[in-house]
Amino acid sequence: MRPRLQTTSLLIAFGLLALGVAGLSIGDMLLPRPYDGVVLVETSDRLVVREVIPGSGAEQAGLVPGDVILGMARELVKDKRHAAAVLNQRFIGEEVPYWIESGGERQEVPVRLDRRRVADGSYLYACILGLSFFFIGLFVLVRQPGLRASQVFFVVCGLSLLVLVCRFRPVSYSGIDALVLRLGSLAAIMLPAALLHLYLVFPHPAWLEAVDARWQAAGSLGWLRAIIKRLGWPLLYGLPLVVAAISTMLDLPMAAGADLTLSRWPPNDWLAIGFIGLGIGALAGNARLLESRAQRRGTMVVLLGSIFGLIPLLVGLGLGLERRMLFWVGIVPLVLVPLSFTYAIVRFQLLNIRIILRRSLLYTSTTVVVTGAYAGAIALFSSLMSERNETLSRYFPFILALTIVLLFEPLRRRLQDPIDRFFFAEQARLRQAAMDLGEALTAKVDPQAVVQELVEALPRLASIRFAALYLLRGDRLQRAAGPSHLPQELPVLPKLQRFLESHRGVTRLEHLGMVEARAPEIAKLVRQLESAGVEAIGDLASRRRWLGIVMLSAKEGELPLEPEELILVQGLLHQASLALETGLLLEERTERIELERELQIAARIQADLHPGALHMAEGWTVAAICRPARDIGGDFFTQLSGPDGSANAVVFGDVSGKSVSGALMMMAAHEALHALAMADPSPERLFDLANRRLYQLGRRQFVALSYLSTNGNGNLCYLVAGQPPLMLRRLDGSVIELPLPGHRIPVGALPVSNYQSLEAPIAQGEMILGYSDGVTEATDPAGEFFGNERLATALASAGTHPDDVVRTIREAVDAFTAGGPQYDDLTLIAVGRDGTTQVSHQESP
Amino acid sequence: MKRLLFFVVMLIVLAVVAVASFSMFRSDPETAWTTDSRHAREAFDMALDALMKRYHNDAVEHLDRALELDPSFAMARLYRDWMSADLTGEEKRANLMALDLTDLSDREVVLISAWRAYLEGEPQRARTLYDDYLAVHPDDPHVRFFVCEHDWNGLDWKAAERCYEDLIARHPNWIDAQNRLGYLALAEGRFQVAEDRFEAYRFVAPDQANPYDSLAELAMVRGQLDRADELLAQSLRLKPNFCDSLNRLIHLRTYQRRQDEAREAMRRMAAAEGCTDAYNAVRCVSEVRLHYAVDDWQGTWEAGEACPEERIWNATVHRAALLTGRMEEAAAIEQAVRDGLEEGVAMSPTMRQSVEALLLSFDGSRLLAAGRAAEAAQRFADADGLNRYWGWGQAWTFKHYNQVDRIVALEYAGASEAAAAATATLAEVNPIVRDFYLPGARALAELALTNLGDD
Repeated sequence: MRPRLQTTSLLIAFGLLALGVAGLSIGDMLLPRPYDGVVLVETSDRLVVREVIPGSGAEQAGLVPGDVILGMARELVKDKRHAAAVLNQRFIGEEVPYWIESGGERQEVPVRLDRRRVADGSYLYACILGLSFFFIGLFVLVRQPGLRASQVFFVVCGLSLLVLVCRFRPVSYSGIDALVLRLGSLAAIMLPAALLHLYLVFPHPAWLEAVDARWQAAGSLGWLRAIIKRLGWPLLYGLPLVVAAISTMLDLPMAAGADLTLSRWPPNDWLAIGFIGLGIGALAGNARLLESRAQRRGTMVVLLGSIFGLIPLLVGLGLGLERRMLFWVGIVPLVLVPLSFTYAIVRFQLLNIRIILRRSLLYTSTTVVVTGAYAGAIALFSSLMSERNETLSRYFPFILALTIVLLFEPLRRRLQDPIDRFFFAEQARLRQAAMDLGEALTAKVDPQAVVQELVEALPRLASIRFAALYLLRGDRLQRAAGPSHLPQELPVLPKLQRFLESHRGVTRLEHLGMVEARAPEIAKLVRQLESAGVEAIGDLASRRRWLGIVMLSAKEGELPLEPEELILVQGLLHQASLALETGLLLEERTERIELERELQIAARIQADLHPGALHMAEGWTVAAICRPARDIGGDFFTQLSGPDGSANAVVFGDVSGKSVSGALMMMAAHEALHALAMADPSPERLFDLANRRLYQLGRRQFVALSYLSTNGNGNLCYLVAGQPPLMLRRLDGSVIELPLPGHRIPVGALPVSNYQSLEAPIAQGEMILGYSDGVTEATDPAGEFFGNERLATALASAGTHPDDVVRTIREAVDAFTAGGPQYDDLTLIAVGRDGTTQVSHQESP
Repeated sequence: MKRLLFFVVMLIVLAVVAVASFSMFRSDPETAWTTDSRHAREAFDMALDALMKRYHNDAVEHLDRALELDPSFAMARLYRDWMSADLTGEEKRANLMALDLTDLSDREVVLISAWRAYLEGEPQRARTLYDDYLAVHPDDPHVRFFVCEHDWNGLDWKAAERCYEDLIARHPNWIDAQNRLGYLALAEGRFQVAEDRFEAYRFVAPDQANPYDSLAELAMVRGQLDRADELLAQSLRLKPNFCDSLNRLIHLRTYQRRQDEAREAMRRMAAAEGCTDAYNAVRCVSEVRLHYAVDDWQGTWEAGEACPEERIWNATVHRAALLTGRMEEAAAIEQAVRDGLEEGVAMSPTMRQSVEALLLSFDGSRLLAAGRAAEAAQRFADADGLNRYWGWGQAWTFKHYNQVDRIVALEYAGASEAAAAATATLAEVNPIVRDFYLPGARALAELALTNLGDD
């Protein structure tokens, strides 16, 4: 990473310098400065007029190419810089005297100074061409900073910018002339070497590799190969400089029209011709040897652009064409070079750059073209008809405008369609593939299938080597799919998770720098993933939750993923997240339905545990209800054998805990009571044994139990453990609570117990009420408990039959809660002393 | 990367700002004129400019103004003293030696020290001081100009020409150097070069009289009298009291044989402010020339006799002596010149050449008057080899005069082809001068014939 970053930074610095100098040159040209319209060349310490701008003050004063300017504005000038300084002190519109030598005669002529113009348009063309070169090069470098070809391409583009903007600078009167012209000359010397370098490695050095292989096979030429490998590039770039230095030292004459030649000295021109010729040969070799057909076609386009763009310039230089002719023959066709590169990149993704052109841009461009065509047509028509306006109707403009409006859109569409097909064919294919994959993902309900599909399809789609997917399992990320060299598990790092969630997309590992800096564990993870070949990471998340992460490798050939590809992958990850979330929800739903069904079965089993009829003894009537708060509850009642064998006992209980755990405990308590009652029906012994049994379960759950039975003398025998006190409604309607035993700890709560039953005489017509705390703790919408007083009042007002008592109290509770949720199971046992009654069993909540 | 880019951009910006600041605020105190008064410095600069234009009176005014603003302005004081007509040489010397060099710039110190060296008779020390200074400040035009003046005043014209060339290569608008180079070219007979130099001067300073005066002199050398007339008129329009042009106007009118106008020009010069000394210096020669122009040998002799100092250096006075039969007086003139040459009158090499040429001319004249035309022609040819078109004395006038003498000598010696060739050569330079000097030369040759007839 570091060397690549360093190289890119150096190249960008070079580019900034080149752009700055070019901007200086162009900006200086555009500054409103007085200008006489003379393009000077300095030869043998004389300022010779090289060109006179048509219509300028110099032309009107009679200056012609070849004249020598000796002085201007009452100052003798010694060089161009001096002339510029003199001229820049004057004003636009001022007429200044020039002292010139024309045809061997010296004379003074007045020259009017105009506002400086960008020559005759050739410089403007050169500037646009140079800037086009530069920005194409910058785009390529930014997109593929690690590729040698894109780095050299940027150097070529930067040098071209300097040559075109600085070397072809036509105006001589500026303080920055010396700087920009010198840099332009230097760039012109170096450009052929850079071009050769580019053509050798563009888009891949297949030509060199083939030659290298042959040399390796030859064996005896190993020394030559070693020298070239070690010194090749320094020699390539150093040779033009050496030739230029020697030319300077030997004082070789400059090339005629040196402002337009690649350099200033003929030897460098010949070197340039040689370099470029070699380069084109190498490019042709690459175009033939590259493996990929698309690359071969793209390289062929660049080859053709280079041949038709550069050869005319070389021929023009060789023939020593006159400046204006050389401009049209050699400089104008140069535009084919950047155009061919651009076309190759857009059309064939050369250098692995995929460009997604905005449709709006193309739409605008097409509209501009159509508008321009119409404007041209109107101008042409007006020009043709200008001499016979009298024949035109006054409605003509209206008809013309109407025609344009009617024809505009059809013509634009006819142009737009082929353009769309041309530029967006590849993008459409990719987008279609992504859409197909998205549909395939969303059609799957099995999360594992989604995972497999995604991990298998991503490498195909984005041309990457592998993808991997980690899903959140508890507090770890587990590899659900992906190559085995990746870690099986990864920790969940909250900072990383937050970063990914906030970015909501695919992020290159190098962009985790800020997070990495703050968290060493992330730095460690990034290093681990980088060593495993991971380049980018993205998260899978739905609106409800974070699902996991996806890892992507670099592309084939270690090319970095491009932003458009990351966007495409990001879209797919969103779809995959939705599919995964759907699958997981479906799984959870299935599990819940299963659970609900089980609970319903459990509820039925629980209900079946309640006896169909409760019977205590002759003359006693029992009614009971048990209404669980949920499907299954912890309250129960049952009937056991009584202690003296002549009567049965009614037991009701309330298990601590709700739902499944409470129900299981209730089942355990129920079965334990039945089993133990068969062994020893005395309530004290029964409770002690049940206490020991339930405590041994070790679930830290207990059961509040009440035991009701009768003894031989007709008294009520009862035992209360953890339940509220029983209520007794006397014959006079008053309600009292029966005394509680001293030891009334819920069964199963403590390892030791000492339960004692109590007796209470019950007269004919009196009513006993047992209840669970779910009755008194029922709450109204304001949160107030139903309480003992309301229960006693309801009991006092109820009818004489236990069924009436149970119904009345239940209705009172329902009225009190006003249809609100039931928080606890509710059990009521009413026992009256005057007969036997069938009881209702369990109510639905 | 963003940080690195930022760093690079900031570095570039800082470098640009630093260079710009350095360029904008750079000052060179070592080459400045030392004064606390900005206006005094401006007045001094104007004085130097006036000097370059040869407007001495204006220069004096500006110097006085500078000293009024800053009485301690050392260089203004030095120049003012040097231009003063009131101070004696000793007083000027005393003032120069009394100048305090403390706190002066390097340029001022070297100029003052060099001038002291000249006064102390050590010109080589002055030159060393200049050279040492220029090794450090090669682009200082003031000191470089004084170096050139050193060579110019030493009449080492080759060295002076090289020096002035060097100066204008660095400062092409240092017009004094252009003017000097023009005259150096004129002296060698490189008339086109001289004209280019004077024209360059005129282009730079069309509001000055001097370039027109220089061009007028060149025109007179070339016999272009109408052009010279126009140029002198332009010069005197720009500077009516320009002494050089007034003097040249007298000469031109004489040359045109417009005696009245010549005398009017003399009166004008005599009346011109600031031209008294110059008029006194040229009055005698002008009188002599006026008589000679109209073949008035007696008047020529008398005019010369009225100015005994000047007459010995004047060939026409010597000729007038011969033509009026004053052989002894002519011999006395010859002897006086020979004595001056041999007995130690301070002369530069070029001046010595001119004096030797004068003696050869005297010999030639005497030989021609004696009927030994062939020998006379050889003397005149030898003199011509030593003469220049510009330099000491009436250089171009004497050169033409001597050439006409040679033509006549050749004619009388029977070498008509050689005479025709010499006539053609002279006509290339000046097509009208032959007729001007021909009567005097022929009269001399005729004198020999007369003497022969008498014999």
